[in-house]
Amino acid sequence: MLAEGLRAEASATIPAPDDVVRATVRALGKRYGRHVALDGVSFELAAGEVVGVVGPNAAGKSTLLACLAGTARHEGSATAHGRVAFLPQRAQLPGPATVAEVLSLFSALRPEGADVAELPADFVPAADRRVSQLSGGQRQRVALAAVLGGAPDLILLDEPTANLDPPSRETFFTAVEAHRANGAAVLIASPVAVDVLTGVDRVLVLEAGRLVEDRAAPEYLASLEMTIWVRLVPGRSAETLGALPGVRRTAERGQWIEVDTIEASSLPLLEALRAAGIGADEIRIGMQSGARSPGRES
Amino acid sequence: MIADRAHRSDPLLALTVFEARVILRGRGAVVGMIGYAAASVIVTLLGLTSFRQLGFGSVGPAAVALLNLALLLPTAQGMVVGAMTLAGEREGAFLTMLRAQGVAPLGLVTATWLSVTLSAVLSLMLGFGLSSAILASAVPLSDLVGFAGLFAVAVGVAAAAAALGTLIGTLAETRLQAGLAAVAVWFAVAIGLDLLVLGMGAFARVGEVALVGAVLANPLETGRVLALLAIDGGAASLGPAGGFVVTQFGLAPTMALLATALVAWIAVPLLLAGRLLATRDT
Repeated sequence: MLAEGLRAEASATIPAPDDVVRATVRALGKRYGRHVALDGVSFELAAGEVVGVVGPNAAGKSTLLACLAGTARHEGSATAHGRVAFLPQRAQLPGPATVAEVLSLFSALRPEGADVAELPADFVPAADRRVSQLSGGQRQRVALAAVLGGAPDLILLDEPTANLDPPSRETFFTAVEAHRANGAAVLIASPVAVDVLTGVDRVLVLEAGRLVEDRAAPEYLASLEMTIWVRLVPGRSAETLGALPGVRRTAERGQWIEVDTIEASSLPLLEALRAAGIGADEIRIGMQSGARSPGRES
Repeated sequence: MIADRAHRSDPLLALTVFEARVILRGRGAVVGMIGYAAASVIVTLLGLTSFRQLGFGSVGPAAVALLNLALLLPTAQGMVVGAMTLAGEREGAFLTMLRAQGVAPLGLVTATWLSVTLSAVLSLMLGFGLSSAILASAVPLSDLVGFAGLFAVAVGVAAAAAALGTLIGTLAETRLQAGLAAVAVWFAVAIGLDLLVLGMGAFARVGEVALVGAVLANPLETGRVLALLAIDGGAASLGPAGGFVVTQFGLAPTMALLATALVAWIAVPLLLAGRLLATRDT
């Protein structure tokens, strides 16, 4: 009886309803002293939906996930429907524990049942290795394997791809797809928009604790700012490149001309640059890592 | 499948076993065990230099020294390791991961406390075991019976210290802060409260009832008086407060009162820690 009581108090979760809503957030607010971390955030997550939460540092992304996981007090409501799995930002597993012990613990903590995502055996390091002996990326993989086990209904991941190499990222997104196919809703937070856009259906943009955008991922991706750097040579200037299609702003920076555009206009612009006789070796391309919407900025 | 499902067990038991492994492999527990074992051996060997000081049939200087060791060192281990373990897991968001998995705050606190208490009990077993082995060659076996009572009381005091440490770990923001606070609280219960009572006595008459209150308000003092009663059974070595209670209520009720106080020193901090963890962000 005591043991039942000790483990019965879960986070703010209620059983999953028959309909498809996995999380409901209404007028969510959170303050740390005078600092407003979240202010009137509202949205819903449907079953099978993978949603990215983006925004600059201190925008409220981690706090939003913590409120939904039931580990942070808040105003308004943040209700998870069903079982929650949560990977907080920079979670540190106890160093003296082995990989096998961490995975066994999380296996024992969740309801019995098969794992939805079959992670390949080489995703995590050898079972007998201690966490303190692992690299940052290996630790992140162990933590991901721990929380992605079983069949959670709502998966909350705060910067899950931090420290992951490309093959591990691919495995991770494959696992996310498996959970999506099983009817889970997945919320992935990152300050770097391009990190979470793989396989995401929808993007929530937070700024200073407010939800400023809730858009379909392709639409958001198309509006992402890009910068193309073109080598500055005699006869070439910021003004001449400014006349090309899709260019929003140009500026000369040392040996380079900085050309701002958006993702949707990038291909036509690159074609125009090539037509103007600018070779590939004279061009550098970068997607802006910030999550600010270019539409809102201009 | 990566997770080993063959070892699926009760969640709380699994968490306690996990925490115990982590704590027993940690530096704090290892240093505590070795330090206490070494000190126990030294005190016992020094006691052997004078047979008059040995034995637990009555309370001699060697017995008092072993009693103080058993009450002080594993207590420090329990308090500091308990505080730093919980605060460290909070700081590293591991507690957040566990809470999100549906483990109740009181469950987290209880698992940590059990694991820390286990590490302190292992220290006590090592120290008492070595002392017993040395003493068994020099004193009658009947004298060692008092050892059992002393051991039981020391376990109770260590468990109370682990509960206090767990509470400190819940209150502290960081692992470092928790460790420093635990050391400060340990000094307070080991020395500070005694000095306070002595200091008050210098300026005003401290009544017997107040002295009894001072004993009950300090788990180490509660344990010390209880252990002396378990060893000696007489009021001669108890000091004014212990002597007053035994005279007033008799031996058995006094021991029951002290044992109840010790249980309260375990239960109240644990319940408080569980409540605090439930009402604050992790």
